[in-house]
Amino acid sequence: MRAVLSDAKVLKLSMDAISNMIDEANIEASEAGLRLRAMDPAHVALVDFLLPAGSFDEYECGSEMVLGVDLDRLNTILKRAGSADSVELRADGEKLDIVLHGRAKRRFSLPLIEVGDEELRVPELSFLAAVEIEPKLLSEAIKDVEIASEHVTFACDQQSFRISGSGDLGSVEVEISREEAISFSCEAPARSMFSIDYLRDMTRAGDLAESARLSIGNDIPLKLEYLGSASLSFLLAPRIESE
Amino acid sequence: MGVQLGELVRAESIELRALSGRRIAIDAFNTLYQFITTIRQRGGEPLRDSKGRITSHLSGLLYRNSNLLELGILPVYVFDGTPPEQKRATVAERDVRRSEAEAEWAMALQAGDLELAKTKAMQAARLSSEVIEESRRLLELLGLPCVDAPAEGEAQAAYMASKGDVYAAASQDYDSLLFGSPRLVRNLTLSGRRKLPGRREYTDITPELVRLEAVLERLELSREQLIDLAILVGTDYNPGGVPGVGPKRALSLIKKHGSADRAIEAEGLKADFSVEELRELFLRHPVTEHYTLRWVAPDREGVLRFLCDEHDFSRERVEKALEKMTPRSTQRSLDAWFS
Repeated sequence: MRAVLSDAKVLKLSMDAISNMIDEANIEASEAGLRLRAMDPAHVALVDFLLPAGSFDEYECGSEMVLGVDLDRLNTILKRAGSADSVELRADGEKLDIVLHGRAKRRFSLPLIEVGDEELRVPELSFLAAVEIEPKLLSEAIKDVEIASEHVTFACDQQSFRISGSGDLGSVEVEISREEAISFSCEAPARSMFSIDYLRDMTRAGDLAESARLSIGNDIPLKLEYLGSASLSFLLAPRIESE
Repeated sequence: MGVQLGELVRAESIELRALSGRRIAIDAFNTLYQFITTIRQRGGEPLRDSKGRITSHLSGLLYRNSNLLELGILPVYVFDGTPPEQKRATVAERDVRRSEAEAEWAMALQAGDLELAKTKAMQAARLSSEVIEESRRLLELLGLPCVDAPAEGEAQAAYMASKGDVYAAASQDYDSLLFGSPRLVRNLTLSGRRKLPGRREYTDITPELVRLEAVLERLELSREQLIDLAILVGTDYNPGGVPGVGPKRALSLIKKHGSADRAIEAEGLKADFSVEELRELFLRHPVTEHYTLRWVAPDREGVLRFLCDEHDFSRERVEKALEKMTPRSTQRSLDAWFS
């Protein structure tokens, strides 16, 4: 496998978000591109990241291969890339080479590791509402809610989408009207609560896409998709309020 | 004590919140013993109330359960009944060791060696009937179910896990795997440091999950053969096992001969026990199917009266622990949505 990205921003942002939640994962390299699907150790979040072959400046993959990678190490290396550097990825069965091309040619070599392959199924979820907003709007809302709470409630009805939280220190609500959203659909009022720790990590990747699509229901997992040249999507299990 | 399988068993380290929403059967004696030995002051004195009664176990139970319930983990405590006849030698030996440690503790204290005193105090710890009764009383006030095993608690916990009434058995020992528990959780605490005995060093402790199926697959053994392996190494029912046989040698012996009896016969090994009888003890240990698992909200006033009024706990700390037990929300895992 050999892949070159002249602009590595998308890869860098995604890895930064993912490596905070997941320590190690298998990256599948195929003709279609690079794909990483994994759950965090607590099985609260599932990540599905796809860099399609077409999003690379150059992409070759003779035969399918699975690259077991320590994501923290990979992220540390990618952080060394300057904004003007192009990033080349090369893998054989033993290691993943990351070559940063700039004024110098810097080659990092990362040994591949064996990552337990748990079968990842995708649950069938009956979402009641789907809202597409600017990624920045979402990440700012999470930062707002964080002032008062460790949990975030997403709620949606016909008029608006609301991101809120409350705690001993007061409460915060961010309301995004139907008109402000890029797209907006709501079959029935929906409301679910999530841990802010996970959302903070997920929304770090916001800048990679033009829009963030949120699908929610009542006390079911949240689906958050960033769709751009790459696609990064998350499923996040809710917190359930006790009676 | 239990069987020494640690070096053959590979555990997954997990985060405690991965067990959110799960029922866990906890070996009560194992846990209480841990509290009584480890929750101590310098010089080895356990925590005591103003009347001199030990409270280490009550402190351990309160905070442990408060942490578990906050994460949405549902503990059920399984108490030992009458130990099998074959355990008599082990029980007697432990008793002698504790008496010796007790004497050494007093000597170390006199000599002013607090470090040694603490080690000896831990070795001398016993579970008195008062400790057990008070623990039950606190668990009841906390709204947590207790189950009385007819014989070994670990066998009962394993039975409940194999029936699917609980997700896993929790103990520091590996015996519940031999009793057939599909899953064993060790270090059911928040991550933290634990002091290495006798050294000024600490080791990181994280909860771990051991899956029986994975252990058997990795060792390429059946459950009967794992039991046979343990018998060769030594269990609570045949302490010491076959002299000179450790876990690794036992594994190769079972692989070569298929069973413990055949290994003993073929290799001319010394064994003063009946493999058949011990194997039965693990395969068909007395258990009861009469138990109810019900979790109710803690009796707040009752807990405060018992811990603060009777045993001099700080009211503020107990209230805080009680508050954590009734969290406003709990984190679910995605597993609940994978059918």
